Amino acid sequence: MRATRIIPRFFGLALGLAVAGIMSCADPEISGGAAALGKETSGIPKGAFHRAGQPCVVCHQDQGPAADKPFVVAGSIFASPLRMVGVNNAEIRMTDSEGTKFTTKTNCVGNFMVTPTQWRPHFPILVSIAKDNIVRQMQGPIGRDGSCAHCHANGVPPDDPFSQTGHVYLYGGDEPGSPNGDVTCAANPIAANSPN
Amino acid sequence: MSNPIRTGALLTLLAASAVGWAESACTVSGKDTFTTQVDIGASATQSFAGDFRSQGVSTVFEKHCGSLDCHGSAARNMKIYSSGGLRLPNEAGAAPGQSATTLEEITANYLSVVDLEPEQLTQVRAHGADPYSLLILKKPLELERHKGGPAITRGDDAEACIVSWLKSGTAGVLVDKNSCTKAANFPSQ
Repeated sequence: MRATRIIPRFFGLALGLAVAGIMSCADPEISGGAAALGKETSGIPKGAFHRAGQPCVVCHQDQGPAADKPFVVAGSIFASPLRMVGVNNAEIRMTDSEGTKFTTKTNCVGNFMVTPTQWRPHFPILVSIAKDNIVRQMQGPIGRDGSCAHCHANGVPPDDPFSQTGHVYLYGGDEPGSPNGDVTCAANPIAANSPN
Repeated sequence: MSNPIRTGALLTLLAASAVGWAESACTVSGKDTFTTQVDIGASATQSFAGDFRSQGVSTVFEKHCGSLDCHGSAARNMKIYSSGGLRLPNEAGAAPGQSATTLEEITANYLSVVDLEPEQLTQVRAHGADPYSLLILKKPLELERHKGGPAITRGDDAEACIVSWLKSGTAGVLVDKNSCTKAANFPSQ
């Protein structure tokens, strides 16, 4: 009788310790970074349109909450430095340190993502973005972080203007002919945290 | 109104120039400090600090190590400041990607590099130890684990630049400015 009470308690304790041990193996930098991003925007389900302007690879990496869909480079291209209206069909042209090139395009909220099956770059990477005849070259290289928004923080100006630079934008102002983005887009092309 | 960080950096530069890079590093004993001063000499020390800027060594570190997502991050212990990366707080409003790297930032870069392993650097500079024993080479060459991967490769201009700078002033070795200039063109298209 006594043994039958103790054994389930023992297994319960062992199970609890095992779960705690597994949880403690999680990288706190990744889990903390993911938690800091907050909840999903209402009305935009998880997918290619979600979280425009946020650092994608925080979750989309090994050990991240979205490890099943890892990205090597991902981000969002907006039209203007002062608003966060996504640019549809903008090209992201990348060249890695070994000279291999890869080009991808944004969707209608401005998001783009490159998976390891598409391209495995050797950092650093040089990047330019383009649409029609407008081309903007990133001044410095991407050293190692695949999330554009890691350095291109949101906020006008960014919280720390000495270590961050603003979101990625293609034009000096609104996109010609599409000031509010692609109005046929399934999601709102204006990012939820756009300052204007 | 003066910026305390800028003022601090300038004072540090003056201190480094006046008494040499090794003095701040040599905290092991007074005897070591004295020996290092004698072995290196004030002029060699000033050259070492001066060459970091004038021969373009700082630029090599800025280009190869100082992007905002690497050692241009405020979260790194060894911070590298540059025009295109992390900026020292300033009243001029210089942000990443704006205006040239300042003297204060170059000074801060110098201190980042020499303060990484001060005792071991003294061994290299004053006692002929192998420069490749320093993290400043082992990490970017990935002789030791480096999260950012190989930032320079064996035999390239960046390596030649940094090694020549570390050895400069000993046995007539001069900083390989030509390699530094070429290494500063990084990454090339």
